Amino acid sequence: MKVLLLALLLLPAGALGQEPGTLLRIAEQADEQILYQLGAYAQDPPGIRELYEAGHASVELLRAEPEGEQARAHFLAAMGSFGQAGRMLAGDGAPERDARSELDRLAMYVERLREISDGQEMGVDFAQVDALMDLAASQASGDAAGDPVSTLDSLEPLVDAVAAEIRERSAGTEEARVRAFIEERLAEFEPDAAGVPGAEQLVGHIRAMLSEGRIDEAKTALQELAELLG
Amino acid sequence: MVRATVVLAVAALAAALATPAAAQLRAAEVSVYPDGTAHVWASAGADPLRAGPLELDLMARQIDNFVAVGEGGFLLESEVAGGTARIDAFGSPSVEVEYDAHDLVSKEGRVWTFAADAPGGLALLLPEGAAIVGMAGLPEGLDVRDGRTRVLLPAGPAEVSYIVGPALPAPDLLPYYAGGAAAAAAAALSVLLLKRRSRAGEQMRDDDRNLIRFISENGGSAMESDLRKKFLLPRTTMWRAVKRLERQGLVTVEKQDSQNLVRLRGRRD
Repeated sequence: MKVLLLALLLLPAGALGQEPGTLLRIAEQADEQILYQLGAYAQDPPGIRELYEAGHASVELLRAEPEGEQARAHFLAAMGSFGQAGRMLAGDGAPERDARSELDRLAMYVERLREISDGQEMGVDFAQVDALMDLAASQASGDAAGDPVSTLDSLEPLVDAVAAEIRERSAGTEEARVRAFIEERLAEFEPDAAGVPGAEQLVGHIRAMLSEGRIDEAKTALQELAELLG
Repeated sequence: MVRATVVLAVAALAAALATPAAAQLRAAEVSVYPDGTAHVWASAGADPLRAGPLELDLMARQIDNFVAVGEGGFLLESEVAGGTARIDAFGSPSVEVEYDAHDLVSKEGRVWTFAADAPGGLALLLPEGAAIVGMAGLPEGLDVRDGRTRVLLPAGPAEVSYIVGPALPAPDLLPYYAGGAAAAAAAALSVLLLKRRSRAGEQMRDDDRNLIRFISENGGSAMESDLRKKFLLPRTTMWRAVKRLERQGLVTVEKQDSQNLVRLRGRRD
């Protein structure tokens, strides 16, 4: 899915966007939403109707001329007015903790950690995390008793512990991965290094650094070798 | 002698090479949740031979659950501070990062506003049921994914304001995005909805209609768990469907023995 998204975003600007009428459709939807919201008031909050009318007038202009520079100006004017009007609508309270949102995000994080663990065959145990995730999901959907927010609160340290374990194990295998990468590149570069002053010696030194466990220095030297070889 | 020269050269270069390199962001996707927190995914190109860290500007400053992985899915060492991630991407030609951001979306009145400096190209996925009511720039595209509006934004400052229910249900506006005759028909439908918003049954999705039919045939109520079994839907999907129907005023949800009893509005046993 991410590859598809990447392909999508790498398309030239406008290749899939702004098909004729897109701006008009967004503006019309905003127009209807604000009008709908205003319908809830017995008496409009001061100034909001004027903003709505200004936005609506821009939508009418956009409708008459849905493409080109003028259309963009009408769109921005309409959306500016509707946005301002929207912010004047009475609020429905401060945002509260939403267990479902938190759970969905945590599930994504846990899945990412699991992918890393499985991919590197770390064998990290997710059983406790999975059990609590299931419980929180059941609580959020009303299928189990209890407060999902409390369950989420007890999940957090467990997930942190799993993440820490993965980081620790990953650090343990990092040196082997870097070493393998450097050795592969050396095998690639060696034939070309023969005729370049200093390059052949550098190859030898990188090998020596690897054998002595000086991995960070070997990384730097490999970068220099790559630059030497152009 | 040669060895000494090479070692000195490497040492001299080490400091210069350790200077962080700015990452070239290729793509980013932001998925906004109903509570205003966003999940960010971004991909950047990297020089696999670069020994120094890769520096990646994050879209937010208040973040958690940060993960950076290289090509092949291995975890990359990283440090996050002040809206910037420094990632050791040695050996990988690309980097993927994911994190949750708490300061990309703010709320004023009933309106939520996403504001960020969009890197290269940004796909913004709004919460289910969100309706855009304001934009400070021109979008590059718009579509609907799983009932959620997705806006493609160009590089640069981006601002998108939206309202999340009770509002005109966004899924009913799906054909609205399709263009041509469908858009015209949907526009007409939307006007009708404004005039007859109490007749929510006319706006329903097919799967929601099937749910209502089943509940009706079941005597006007059904346990949410029974609905899941009947329609073979995952727990979260069914929970969202029921929430949608509840928002539309078609059903009520009551607790019964720790379970959710879904009842058609106006029906009492």
